[in-house]
Amino acid sequence: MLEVNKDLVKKFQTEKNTKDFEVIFNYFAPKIKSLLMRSGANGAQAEDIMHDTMINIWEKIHMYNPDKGSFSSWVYTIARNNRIDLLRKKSSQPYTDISEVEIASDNDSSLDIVEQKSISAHVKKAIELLPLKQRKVIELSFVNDLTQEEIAGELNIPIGTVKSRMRLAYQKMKDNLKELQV
Amino acid sequence: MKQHPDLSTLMSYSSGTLSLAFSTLVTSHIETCDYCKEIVQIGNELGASMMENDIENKGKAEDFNEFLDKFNNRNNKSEVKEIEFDLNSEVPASLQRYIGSDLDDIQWSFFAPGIQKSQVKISDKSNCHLTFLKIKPNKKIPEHGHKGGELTLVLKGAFEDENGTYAAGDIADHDTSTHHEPVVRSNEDCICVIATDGPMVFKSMIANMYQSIVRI
Repeated sequence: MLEVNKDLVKKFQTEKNTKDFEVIFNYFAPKIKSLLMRSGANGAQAEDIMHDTMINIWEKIHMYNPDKGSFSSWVYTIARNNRIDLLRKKSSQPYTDISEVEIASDNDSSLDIVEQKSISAHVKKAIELLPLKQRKVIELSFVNDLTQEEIAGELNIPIGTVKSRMRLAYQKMKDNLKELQV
Repeated sequence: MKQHPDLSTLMSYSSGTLSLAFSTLVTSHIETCDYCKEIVQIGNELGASMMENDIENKGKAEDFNEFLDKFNNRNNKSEVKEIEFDLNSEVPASLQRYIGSDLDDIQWSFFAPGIQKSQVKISDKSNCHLTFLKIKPNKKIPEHGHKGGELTLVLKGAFEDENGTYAAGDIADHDTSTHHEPVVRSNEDCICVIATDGPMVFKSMIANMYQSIVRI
């Protein structure tokens, strides 16, 4: 399988051809669908959201700015927003994401800690270094799509403990990322 | 900008598990807050890593040609329209779809002496809404706690409570552990917008009776 790297994304942004899009599809489509099914979507819903996400990638590729984060995180936020809009069905209003607002303002703020070099590997390593209890809370939030209150119920702990584990996890993630980037 | 949402709120924003009302206020804050933008971006990288390294992903390939057929036959082939916002407005772009770009256009109603209120429904499929308050200088909101979470974003003016001072763009992030008595500390009216997932609980019985009628 061909790799989705910075050069391929840049080429796809410039040329927008089906061949590069297929590489992106083959890499991300199974991952998006798998994450959606773990967050409670059934097969048909996961397929619909995955398809919508891939269509958005094609249509919005000009909006992706590598200075603001990795391509994977951009794809993740599109899939997440589609999940919010379609799966919860609590609103007919589309979710106004910060990326849309930033495009409108053209406010180019690059992020020091989020460099593109091997970001996924660094984040993966940083997650692995988290204590088990903190990692569990992060997984329940990001993978299983549970609110803080639902996590508290699932783990039978006070919501204040959920919040403090999330804060600690973030601080440790940030410290680990800094160390890993040296 | 000095007052930010709690780190756990920003992480939940990245994971997409905040309610529409809460996430709308967080987006409004981070529009102009690089500090929180960086935290959210790290959260997004975390979510992306979870997606990329999902241990339960069996790696089953998806059919690109089947997707391509659907893609080519989709009804709406128009390119995505970028939303136009008034970037010189004191209303954050994320709130403009609900109240427009001019705070003077908000339709206020009486809430209490010195305090006006406006509720804006932000979803037609649930009871999700935002409450806007316009409070006169030096006016106090009676001491209260919360039965759930509460985010308050200041749009104009400033208020102060036991936890600090909040000016335009700042967010006060309170939960069941917070008891406070906010007071407006600006020379002009303070306009703020509130999202809650539980009612306020006032220390005074009279204020509680009133709250049960007017509800925030």
